[in-house]
Amino acid sequence: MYEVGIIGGGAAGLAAALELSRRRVSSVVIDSDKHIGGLSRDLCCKANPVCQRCDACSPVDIRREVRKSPFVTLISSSDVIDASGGPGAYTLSLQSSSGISEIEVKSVIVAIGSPTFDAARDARYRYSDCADVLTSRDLETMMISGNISVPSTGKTPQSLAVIQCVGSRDAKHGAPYCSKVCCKYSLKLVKRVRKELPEIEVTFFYRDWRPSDREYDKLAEYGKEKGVHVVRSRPAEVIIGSRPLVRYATVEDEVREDPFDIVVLAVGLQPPQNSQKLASSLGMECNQYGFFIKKGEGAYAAGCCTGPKDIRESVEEGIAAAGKAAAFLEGLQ
Amino acid sequence: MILIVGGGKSSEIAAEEVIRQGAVPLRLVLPEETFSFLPDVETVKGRLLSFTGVQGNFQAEIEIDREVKKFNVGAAVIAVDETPKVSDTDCITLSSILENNYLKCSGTIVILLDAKKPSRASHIVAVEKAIEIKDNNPDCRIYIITPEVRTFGLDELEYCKAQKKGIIFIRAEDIKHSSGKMKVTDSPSGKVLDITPDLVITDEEQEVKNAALWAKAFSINLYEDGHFRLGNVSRGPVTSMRNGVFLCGTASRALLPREMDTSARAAATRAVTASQTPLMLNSAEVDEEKCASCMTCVRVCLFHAPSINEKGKSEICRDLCQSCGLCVNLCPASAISFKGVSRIELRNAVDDVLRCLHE
Repeated sequence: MYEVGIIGGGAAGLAAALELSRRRVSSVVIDSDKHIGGLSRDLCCKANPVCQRCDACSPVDIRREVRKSPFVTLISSSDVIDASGGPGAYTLSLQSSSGISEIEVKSVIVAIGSPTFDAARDARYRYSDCADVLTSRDLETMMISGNISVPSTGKTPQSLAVIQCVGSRDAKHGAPYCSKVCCKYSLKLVKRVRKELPEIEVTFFYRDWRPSDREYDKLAEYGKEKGVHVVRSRPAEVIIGSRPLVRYATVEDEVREDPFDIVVLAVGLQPPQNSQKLASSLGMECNQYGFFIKKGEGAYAAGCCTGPKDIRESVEEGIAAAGKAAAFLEGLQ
Repeated sequence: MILIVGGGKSSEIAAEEVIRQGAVPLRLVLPEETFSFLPDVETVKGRLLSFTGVQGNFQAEIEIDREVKKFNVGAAVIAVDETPKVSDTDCITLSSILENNYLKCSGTIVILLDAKKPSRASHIVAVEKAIEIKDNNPDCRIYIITPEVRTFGLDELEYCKAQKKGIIFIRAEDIKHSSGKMKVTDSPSGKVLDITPDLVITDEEQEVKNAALWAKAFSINLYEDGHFRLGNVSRGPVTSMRNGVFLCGTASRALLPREMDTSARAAATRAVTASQTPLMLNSAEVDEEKCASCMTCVRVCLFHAPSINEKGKSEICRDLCQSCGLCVNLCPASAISFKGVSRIELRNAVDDVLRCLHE
């Protein structure tokens, strides 16, 4: 019997587990993936060379602390297929390769996160049939490996385009909302790439600049640097050629097609899958998109499953949920 | 007891959360500050003279009505919010339409969002208010003029709704406003529009009041723009550079209402935890005979721990020292050391770690 069951071992779930362990409250973290860490696991540090507060290291630190804690049990490669009970006594049914098992907990924190948009679904950008069209996460992985090269030729890229709002602010693909984090990470990622490859020409296609914190002028300032072009436009499509061509309309209503070595799609965050079922079995509620609504006692939600947010805010929400759960458990005694 | 500083929304949420988690909040506001009354929270008006001690066992000296009182607190939350700067123009501001009923306005209404240091929430407030006015009076014509539409996250849906209702958004940086007439240059297309508004509503520049005062009392730092300096990322969110002192509210970071709620609750949670876990770090110590009073340690310390005492020698405050080792390594006279760890041992330990990294 554990005190708190945490569904999802991403930034928010692990932050909740760590805060509970600081209060000597036992918890179990259940993650469907083989490795815990969630979406934030494979992000690169954006320091150039001073810290840019991208928060990529924050979940790594939290995970290390959680692993050391005697109050946290980690269960990976397991899905929560069903839940029953109510505040004070929940039963979670887990499915793993070794079969189905049950765990009893007094309180639940749902931190199942949200997947990034599958870029192949937006066929205009040719993610599935052009090797040189990458998602922002692919570029992160490339940065971690330390080898930035054009996938089709293996050469060092000379030009790079970033297309913002892929799978966000897009009603056709089920995400009419803004993903809130893409402006923040894209610009920091681009700056980091240009730190590694100072010669690269970068074109930043954006719709509205919505930064984190007070960086309202950051994009305009960055656009003045040599080799950086900031274009307010939503590209119509990517055309496959010897190099991918980005077709877009300029503000003067002129249609242009510019070739780039690499086209990066800044993918947004999608609502969690099957959240309605999990929510109803725990007595929680979801909004029309499937994001959890924070309400009620006993079962709490934290992180991106309550709406798109950055690592920092997810961690804060995880800590806050842990506080609520701890207060709820004290009330039981 | 948890000390909560500030009179705004963040301090209310933090106090509420502290009570929920079974701890006792003490809210401190400045004598001249306006604040909302909370029935379950002890609120004192006063000035913080000193804040000494360590996480789990702080002593706060507060001057209340010219009388100095001492409080034992486990942790502190600085929950100070920005406030709108009082403008000298007689423009109607966003926050004033929230307080007063301007729903019955008619004709052409312009909401101008071009303040230099705006609140992060100003755009969604403007959009929501515009929808409300339009619903009340469908005949009026509403323009929202702004260089950038910043409706973050799910607020985007309100922006879409506003557009569907016929509210006109103009992205403009060049705005000329004189004697009831407006000349606006739409920045994407360069087209110039003439608008004759019946009512102009503007957003306000935000300012942090008294941040320097609080920063000095708590021995924490400020950014150049006057906001509270956040702790390094490795210290976690809602932290300051001092253990046991937590930050939330818009005076530390730009926040939407929802983010403000999360941040305040997280800070309250961390403060309650911190008050239960006293922390004692091994402080660096100065050998006064070796100290040359060169001020190196005073200048390099991120935590304001070293200072020059009345003997003219460096002294490191045990409560503020984080055992980071910066002064130990940089002291030209080798006068600073950790108790029980010699400088050579420390250097060898660092070399070992570096060797492991290279292998």
